[in-house]
Amino acid sequence: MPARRPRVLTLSAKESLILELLVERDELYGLQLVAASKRKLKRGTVYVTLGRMEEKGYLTSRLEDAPADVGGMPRRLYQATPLGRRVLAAWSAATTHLMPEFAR
Amino acid sequence: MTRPGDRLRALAARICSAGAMTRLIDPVVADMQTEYLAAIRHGRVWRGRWVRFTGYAAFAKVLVMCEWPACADRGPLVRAVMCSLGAIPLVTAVFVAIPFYTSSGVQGFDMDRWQAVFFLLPGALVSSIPLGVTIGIAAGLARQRMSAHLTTLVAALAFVCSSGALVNLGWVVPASNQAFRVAAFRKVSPFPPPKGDNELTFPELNRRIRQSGTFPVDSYGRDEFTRLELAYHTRWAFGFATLVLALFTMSLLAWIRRRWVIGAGICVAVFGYYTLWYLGRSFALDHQLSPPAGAWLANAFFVVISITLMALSTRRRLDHQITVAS
Repeated sequence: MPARRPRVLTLSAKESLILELLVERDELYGLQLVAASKRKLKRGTVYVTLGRMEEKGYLTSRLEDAPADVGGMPRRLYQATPLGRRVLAAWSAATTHLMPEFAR
Repeated sequence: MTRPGDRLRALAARICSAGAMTRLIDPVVADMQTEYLAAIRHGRVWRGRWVRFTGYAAFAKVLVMCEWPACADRGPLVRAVMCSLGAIPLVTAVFVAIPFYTSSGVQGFDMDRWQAVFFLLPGALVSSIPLGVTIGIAAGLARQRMSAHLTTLVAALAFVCSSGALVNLGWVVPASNQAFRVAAFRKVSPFPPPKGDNELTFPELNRRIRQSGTFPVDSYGRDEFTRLELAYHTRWAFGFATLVLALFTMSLLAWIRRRWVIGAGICVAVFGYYTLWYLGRSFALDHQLSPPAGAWLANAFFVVISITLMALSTRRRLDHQITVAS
């Protein structure tokens, strides 16, 4: 029986943008990501993308320590994992190498 | 105090897995609540409303995106939706065709044929949405085991249809009715005919009720107040007819497997619904029932029957499981 091929790590444009923002600003919650992306991320899809990225191991999350007077549920803050940072670095390098005209 | 999104979260908890709740639903609700409460604290009411609106839209999108790929009831649900989408235009066509080809219908008016269809369409949708959805659910879910999950999903879809029907009843139908009257009487009179009860939108009807309720000086005033209040509540009740009939159909499907019996049951239910509505209306106009009670009589009756049938079906299933286990 042939050995199972290792899973190839992929990064979509949205995932790449989220990782870039998180690397840049360390820890953000969903709506901060939407605001920081200048409308490139949509409110309805950002949470699903964040959930998928967490499953892939690119992100880690924790509940914020909400002050008592705020009243709402505690928000979930997201942070890039070392794997996420490596994938982003590799992706950026590959983009720069393969398509220099599109590199940021 | 209930925070915005708390009820929706409770609803989602019935449908989604614990993982989906933690990763997807809770962050949406938490972000919306924080943003909303911040807007309210700063006195920005409209900003708060906008946050709620966009938050609910995001919630719906996340719910569909997280639940849909893992949904075991996807097949039956799609079948029910497709059957409903097929049935609604058919029933609408029948309701539009009836006044079109009868001598007392639109033929006597000096009006373009397609213009008449355009005006009649919203009025036809008032009945065709509940009927089409009922037929669609019955055809799409016949012989299907009605799990709590599937029942919740279908009820949620029926609620969406009900909301659409309510908007149609409250604003679209009055506007199209008045447009029809204006177009029909253009040659007879240069002035547009005054609006009747069926041509008043929800806000206009509300205003008229307040005016007539302020001075109920004689029996005529009292009758007018009753009539207007009945019209107002009937619209709300008819708006929710889709949800009520969908619940009844699902409770019927939990008990009956034979298609023809389901079909017969639905025919009896639809006939019964309209008969009860007519009775409730008559009682309200005779002042034997209050206008809200008269308008909601049919809905209340069918909701009670549906809940009873569903509860009995669940009990029967549990009894069967206990018997098999022992």
